[in-house]
Amino acid sequence: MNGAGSSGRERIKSKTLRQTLFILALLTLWELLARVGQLPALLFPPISSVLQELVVQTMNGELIQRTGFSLYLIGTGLGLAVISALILTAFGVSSQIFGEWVQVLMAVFHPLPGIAILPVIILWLGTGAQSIVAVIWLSAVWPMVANLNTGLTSIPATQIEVGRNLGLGRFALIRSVLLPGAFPHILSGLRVGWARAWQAAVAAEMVFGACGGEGGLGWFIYKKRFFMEIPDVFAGMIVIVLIGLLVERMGFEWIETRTVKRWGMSLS
Amino acid sequence: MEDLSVTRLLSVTGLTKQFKVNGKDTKVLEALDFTLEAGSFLTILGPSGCGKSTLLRCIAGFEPLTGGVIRMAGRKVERPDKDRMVVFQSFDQLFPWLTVLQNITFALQATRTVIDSKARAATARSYLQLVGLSGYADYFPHQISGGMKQRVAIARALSVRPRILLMDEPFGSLDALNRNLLQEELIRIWQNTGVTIIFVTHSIEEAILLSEKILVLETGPGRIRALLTNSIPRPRSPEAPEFTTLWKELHGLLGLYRETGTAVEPQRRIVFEDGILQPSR
Repeated sequence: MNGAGSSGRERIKSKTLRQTLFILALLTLWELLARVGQLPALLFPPISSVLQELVVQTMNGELIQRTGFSLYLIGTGLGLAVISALILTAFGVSSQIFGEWVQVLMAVFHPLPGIAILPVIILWLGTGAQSIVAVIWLSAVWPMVANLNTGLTSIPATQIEVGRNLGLGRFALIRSVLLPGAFPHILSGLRVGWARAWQAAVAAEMVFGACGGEGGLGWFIYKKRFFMEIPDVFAGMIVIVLIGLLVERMGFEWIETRTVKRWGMSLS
Repeated sequence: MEDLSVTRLLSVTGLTKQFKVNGKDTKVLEALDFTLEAGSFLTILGPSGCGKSTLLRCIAGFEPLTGGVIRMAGRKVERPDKDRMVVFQSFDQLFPWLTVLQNITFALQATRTVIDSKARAATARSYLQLVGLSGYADYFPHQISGGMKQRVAIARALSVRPRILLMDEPFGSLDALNRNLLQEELIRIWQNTGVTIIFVTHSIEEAILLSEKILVLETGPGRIRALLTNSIPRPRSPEAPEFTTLWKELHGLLGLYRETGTAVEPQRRIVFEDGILQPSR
């Protein structure tokens, strides 16, 4: 076990190393193209100036503030989406009629990109932070409901019967059997929800910009493009990429190795 | 007159069960009557689709009855309870997110069999030892073989001290070697713990090897064809002449065995008195 574990860790290390080298190679190519090539520096700035701006904008606090605001909106929207997905699913599984309604709502709203609802949301809720949160919520809730449903229906009937045999009541059964049993799908629902929430947040911020003087990363990128400060535009994009990587590696993968993978319940 | 349905551990009276199949009511079990004494080992034997699993699920309390009544020590069976623990055929009956040991401690906790958490772990370990899996306490179910999973399921079911262990073809998905091993182990466990066992199987050999009583079901709708007493001395071997005799008899009862070209008359040797299991000495 120990030998297999350490060789597995080494394999991961060498894979991470290869990926890092690949990214470095791409960045070098970018730098070379920008410096040697005939590309206009204004539209295609060298990576060195992008990284420089990244540092400058971080030090002066602007990027941190923008990122913080975006994360705050996404956190709120995702949190609401998780809670409402749990409530919708709870009703959906306890009543057949309600379950059918949830199916219909999902069929209608799932294919609709959150950003497409934005004009109506602005009419109803104005151009404040609440509209962005609403768009994030609408983008993230449906994939989470869908995954939660799949998770619950994929639990083997025998496990539920074992729970009943042991005398578990309704809530004990949900907590001790249904939720852990559906966890692999819950996790993948969170992944999709998180990705969708980011897309919705950045897109929504770009459409109506700063709300009350405070704007997120989408607004930062949009504003910098407006003033043709292109290295800052790229710096904003890099922050989005870095946060995405961080949440995936430190968040989802971390949880996955300690739960789903450990239990042999991986979906793929 | 003594009311046997009260003094026996389990009594099944007039049990009828129907399901809706394609919108039509279909009788799966019809008018079943039998009782079972504490400490006995009963197998329910019958062809596929005769309703033997349904009968077991009714006794477990998973299925509402269409008619009749099942009593456990005099009390009507209406829902699942830890006094009737089921071991299923499928390998996924263990909770994959719990270790082997935690699967058992969870059962002990949920049923409030052992309250103190240290004592729970100790109890769980003793049941793992009973099924020969002491070294696997901290493994997750996906890391152990199918045979080991069934052992853990048996240990988990026994740990909450049920009065009847209900087993639904628990060795049906195992290879022949593992199946034989587990059969022997189950007999040892039954002899050591004194637990009452009802075991569903479609294998005549398995029924003869394991049980003291054999309930033969016929199909369409499931009725009791016979209740036999199996008093072949243990350890039982398929080579013993009594084994062959009983095998032929059961084959005949199931309508499978033909001697000299004609089916054995099934009613000929039924040991069945008033629906109550009686030793046929």
